[in-house]
Amino acid sequence: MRTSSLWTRILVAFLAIALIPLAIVAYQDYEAFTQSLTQAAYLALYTSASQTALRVDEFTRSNLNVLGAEVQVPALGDYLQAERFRQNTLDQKRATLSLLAAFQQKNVVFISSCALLTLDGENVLDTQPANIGQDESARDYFHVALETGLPYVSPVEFSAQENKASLFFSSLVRNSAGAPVGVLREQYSASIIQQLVVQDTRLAGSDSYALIVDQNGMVLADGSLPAGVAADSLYRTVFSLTPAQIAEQQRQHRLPMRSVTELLLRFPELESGLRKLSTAEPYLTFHMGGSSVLYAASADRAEILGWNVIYLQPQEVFLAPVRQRSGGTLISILFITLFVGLVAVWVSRWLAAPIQQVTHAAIRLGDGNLNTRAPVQGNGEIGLLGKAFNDMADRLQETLVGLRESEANYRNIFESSVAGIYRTGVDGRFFTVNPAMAHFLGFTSPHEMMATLQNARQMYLHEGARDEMVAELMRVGRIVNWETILVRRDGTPLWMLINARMERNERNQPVWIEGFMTDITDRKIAEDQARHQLEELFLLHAIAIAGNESTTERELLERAAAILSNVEALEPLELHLLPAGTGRLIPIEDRQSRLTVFNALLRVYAPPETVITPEQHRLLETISGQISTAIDKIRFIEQAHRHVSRLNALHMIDTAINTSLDLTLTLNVILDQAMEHLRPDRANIVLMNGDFGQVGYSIGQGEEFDEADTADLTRLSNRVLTRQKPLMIADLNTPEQFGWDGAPPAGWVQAYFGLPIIAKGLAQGVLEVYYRQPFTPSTEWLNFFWSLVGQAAIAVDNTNLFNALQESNQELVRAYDATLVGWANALELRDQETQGHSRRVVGLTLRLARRAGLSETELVQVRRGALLHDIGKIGIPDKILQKPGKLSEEEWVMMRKHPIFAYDWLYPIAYLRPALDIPYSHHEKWDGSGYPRGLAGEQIPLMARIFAIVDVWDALISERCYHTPMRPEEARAYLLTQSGIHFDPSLLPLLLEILDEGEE
Amino acid sequence: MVYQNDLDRQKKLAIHSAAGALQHGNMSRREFLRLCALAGFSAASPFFLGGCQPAPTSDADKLRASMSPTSTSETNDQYAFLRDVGRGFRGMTLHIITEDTPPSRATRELAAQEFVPITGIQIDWEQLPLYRVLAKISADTALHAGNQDVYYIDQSWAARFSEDTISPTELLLHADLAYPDYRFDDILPSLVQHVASYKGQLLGIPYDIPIFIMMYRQDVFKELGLAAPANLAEYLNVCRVINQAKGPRMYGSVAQWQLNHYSLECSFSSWLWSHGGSYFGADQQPALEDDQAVAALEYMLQLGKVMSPAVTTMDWDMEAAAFRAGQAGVYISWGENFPSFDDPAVSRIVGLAQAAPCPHELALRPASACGFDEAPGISHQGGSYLGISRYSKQINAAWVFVQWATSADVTARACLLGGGSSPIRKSNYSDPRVLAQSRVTPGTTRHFDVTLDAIQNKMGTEPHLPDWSNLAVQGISMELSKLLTGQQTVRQTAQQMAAHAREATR
Repeated sequence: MRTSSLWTRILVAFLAIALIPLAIVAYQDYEAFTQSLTQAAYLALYTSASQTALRVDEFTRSNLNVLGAEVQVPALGDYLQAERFRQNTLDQKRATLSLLAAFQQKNVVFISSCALLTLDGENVLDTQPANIGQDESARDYFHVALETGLPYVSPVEFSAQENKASLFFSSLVRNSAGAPVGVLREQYSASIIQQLVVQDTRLAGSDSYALIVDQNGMVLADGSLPAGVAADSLYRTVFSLTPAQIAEQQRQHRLPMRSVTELLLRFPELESGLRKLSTAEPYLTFHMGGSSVLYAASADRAEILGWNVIYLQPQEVFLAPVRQRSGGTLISILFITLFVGLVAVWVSRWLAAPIQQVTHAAIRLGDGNLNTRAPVQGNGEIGLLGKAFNDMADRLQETLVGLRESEANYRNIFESSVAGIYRTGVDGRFFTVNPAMAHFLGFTSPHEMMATLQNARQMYLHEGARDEMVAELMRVGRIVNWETILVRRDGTPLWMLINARMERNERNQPVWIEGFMTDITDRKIAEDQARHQLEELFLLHAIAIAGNESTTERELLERAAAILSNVEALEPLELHLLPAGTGRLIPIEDRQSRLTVFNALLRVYAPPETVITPEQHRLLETISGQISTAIDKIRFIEQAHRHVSRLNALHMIDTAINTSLDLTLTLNVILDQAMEHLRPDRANIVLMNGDFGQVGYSIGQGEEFDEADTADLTRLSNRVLTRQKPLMIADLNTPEQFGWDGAPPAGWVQAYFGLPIIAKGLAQGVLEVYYRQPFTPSTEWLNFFWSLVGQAAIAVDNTNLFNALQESNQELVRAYDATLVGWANALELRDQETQGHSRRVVGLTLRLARRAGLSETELVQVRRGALLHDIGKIGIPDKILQKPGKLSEEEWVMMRKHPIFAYDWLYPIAYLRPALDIPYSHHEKWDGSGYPRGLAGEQIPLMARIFAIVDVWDALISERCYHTPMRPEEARAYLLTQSGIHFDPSLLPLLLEILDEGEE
Repeated sequence: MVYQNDLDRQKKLAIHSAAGALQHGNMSRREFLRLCALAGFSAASPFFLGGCQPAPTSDADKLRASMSPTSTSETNDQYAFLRDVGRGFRGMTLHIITEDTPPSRATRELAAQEFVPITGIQIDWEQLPLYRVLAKISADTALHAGNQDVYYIDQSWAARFSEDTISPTELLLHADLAYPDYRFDDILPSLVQHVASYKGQLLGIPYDIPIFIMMYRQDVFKELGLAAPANLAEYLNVCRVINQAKGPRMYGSVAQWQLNHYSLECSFSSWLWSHGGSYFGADQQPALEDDQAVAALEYMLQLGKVMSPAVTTMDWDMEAAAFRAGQAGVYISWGENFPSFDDPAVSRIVGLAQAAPCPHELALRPASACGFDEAPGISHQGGSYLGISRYSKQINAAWVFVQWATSADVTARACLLGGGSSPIRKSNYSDPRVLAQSRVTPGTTRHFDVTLDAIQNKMGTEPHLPDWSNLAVQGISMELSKLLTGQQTVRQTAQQMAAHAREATR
């Protein structure tokens, strides 16, 4: 029993010494590894959730911005303004509908309707015709946009009939005076959210994806759903809503019209996790329904719409390395335990055997067997009882032998240990190291190691690492789990975990340092890999932020370049981001220099003897894809702005054409727009002289030409005019590429673009732009250039039409006036008495009328009236008109009808109606005694009063068959006698002034 | 019938092959010289000496100096033709525009090294993304500017530009400009008919031929005991089995279903035709509402369930990248991507991919029952041709260049330098240089037997409609996008696509 007990104790002690430190180290390693992977996974999930949240925010924000720009298009305000009075024509309706359809084109897959709502909420124009006429005034997107004046996006709403989920974007529309006239509303299918989410699938590694959950716990998107699934798989809630809450949400269109059973997902762990979410602790774990898979997740918030973005991954996926590693560790421990156990059994037996023999001998001696001798003794054991010294000496000698053997055994443990064991002086001198230690450092034996390394400091990778450790030992006497990097003989680094203590003598002076070392390099490599993954995620996150915040491609590329300039994971690759729009081809000579281009954007040079690793390739593809997506976004926004700006430009030109007949003004508006949108150094409009086919008119804006170069450059305009075809020379130094066979023009012009202004099939002129540098236009640029030329053609055509009309009017007027003169002459031929009368009175009447203050327009009518004053006499029979003597009373009655004849004849001629006052009323008298109507004073039209004086004056001083002409002074005297009787007293002095002045 | 030039070419190929053996120590120098004598090359032949001497002695020798698999097999007649005919055009500059593809880059490199020095004709070769090529050609033809002499025209644009190019039919009869041993009949007839012709008129010379084949993971198939599917039901079943066993780390399949993108229409066309459907009927009316089209759409939805949820974000490049990353077990798409699967710099499945003919169609509507030159076949093709601009002022010089660029020697070398893209001539597929690449290596040609079979027996061609580009994207793809995002049913999708097609043909 005693022998057995001693053996057991030795065995237990040995196992404890060897295995307990091993178990502690293994456990600590397991815990640290698990914790490290879990933290890395949560951080990756959080970063992925943020990425998806940013994507959702970016979608929302960019649509709000675009909508804000779209409502600035004047045509919308004009349409809604006119719609208040139902004044829109069919053409206006078509044009505005085309505009809405163009807005829909920005996302034709998901935008289902684009509409204009009046201030009453009535849908008056919609790309989805079935919606026209419906009342949308009760919807949030209508009244919030109207009340705030800001672009608005609704939560997901469901249609009553089909449970169709939609997002509504809306913005207030104003008229040209800035007054609200309605709302522009765009309807997105809510399936766009699913599409945003699937783009980020696997962002945090295998099996990871995102869920989007709104404030009611309704699942709006699920990144694990395959393409093509119906919406029925979504729009269920993880929150345990009461039937009353569900009914209320359904009334507000916030939940689909389904039964409670169909709406509730019953994921209590997810619900609980979501309700406890906080910014400080955005992590949760849960089982999905009744599934046995435990998910780890992290959440972030899409700020604009307030949705939770949950990024999740099965825990078993990211903890898989722990399982693999734990299995390996367990097998190692089992082998070590087995080995140590066998050694311990053997050693304990070997140690116990002599003592057992002595004990047996002692027992036997104690039992009275005096001949008993312990074999180790070699002599009889009687001394145990009686012979003290010799026996004691023998027993001491025997004990010493046992101690020596024991020391050898412990040496064996020291030699066999899998942990490195060493003892050094404080100054670094090696006292001893075990084989494991030598093996760690790449030596074949401790002897070789100590012969090679004179000092323990040489073991450490970093200078001073040992001194730091020794200082700690000096301070506290021992160190536990001290991690440091040693360097192998071949120079490779080696992570070690050290437990050591310092031995002091009785004077408390340090004697030596001894310690255990364990290789933890594998664990460190795993930690490094996890850190690299984190760095990649931070990098992608930074680029995503840059993409969201940048407003120009240049800014984005500069920011991206700055971010990429110091990425450890991409070393030693050299990265170049191509400037926007200059995707240069890979030169053939670079084929050997290991150039790779990602997404036609990111050029990556791998130095010789290196390759792009699959991880780097994947990262570069992701980075370039992310930058490319951001560039597309910026280009889209810029294009939308340019589109709106150019629509405005064309609208301004339309306005100028419609509101002004001044061609120069209109063409200047076109030049203004050309300078602003085509960005040339100079823009010209050259118009042809219609009669001679030559350049007749030219205006321009921008930098002037040298006079000496003007004629040279005119060749370009003439070529466009003569050939009636566009001439586009992107680089005048190589004009043969563009079909230009002349010598390059002198001066500063390096690029020329001229388009013929063609109206009704004929070239009317040229719109041309000049550039100081070679310039290659885009299709968009060309389209706008063609639009400007089209507008110029309309303006020129309008002006030509107007001029032609004016010319023909003037021709007509001249023809009429010639006719009037003909009528007057015909009358005078009939009435020989008044020959030359009309011609004379016309001149004098015009002078008097001008003196009386009549306008030039009125003078035209005065002249016509004066010419035709006696036209009514055509209705008087010749026997009366040409009667030499006095007229009888009946004949006078007939004669006095000639003003009435004139009235009846001329009144139907609208053109002569304004001149009718003179023929009809020139025989009326101031005192009311005239004919045909007996008007008095100012009842008599002013023109007639003026003419009456001149008519009488000419009759008095002219020769007639019934009297001899008066002398002028007699005639003046007579006129004065008739002032206030026959004539207007205020006009007579004016005539006398004119007569005093004489003829003009 | 073997032409003299063909014999000459075969001899040189034999010499070229022997030179390689000599270089690698597999043939003695004496044996090599004996073979040369049999082939009619004297020991002083520049061609022969070029392989043995490090320093070339003339420009012609320089072109032949390399003994790599991509070295020229151009004949003396061809060299003399280029040199002599080039005198008449020396100093001219030809303006060429093509898509920026690896074989185009390779051909441009060969042109710079060979065609330009021999003929003296300068080449200004613009290589752009496909959509920019379309924009530039549209602008040039709209203005009748003739700024480009040679256009790269995708087969889907053939109707649109049919009036803007010179038909090569007459040029081929032009004896003074006939490139020696050009052998127009060596160009695969199906490409001449479906890629480079419109309403029976030849518009240009076929230039490249991306085409759908089936590609799968042979290791996964072996592990799961699967055989290459022979029909559509088997194909869907194989996808489901892989998805069940490997998902979600590896999906059953992958596709180019990026929303509102031309790639989505390409993918759909393959399923439409393989279900016996077509875009148009013989009466030129849309056939997209019939039972076959509906069955094709339903089949696509079934396939969607064995693919990554992110499939609606993938175009043809991302589709290939996903397969290269080991994320799918089998798919049907452009064979042009197959060579990259064996490139360890970008692929995780080097040596694991295998090509196979697409499954048999469920039914196949004959081309005579379709409209607008549409020719159904499960292997959708995206070929292109080189057309000479009707507005070019250098038509003869352009014709010389087009013949050179599409000659058997240049197309074989462009295929290899371009990383294993499918060539257009039948002889290319048996060219020793091409066969030497039929192994696991970047730019492999080990899928070429499947590609040739697809071109000759399974090729599907879209309708040649003037407005096809718009209809394909803004009509077909847009409606498919709505289907794949759950916005409308299969029946609604079919009706909407038919409505767009009707509008486009009105």
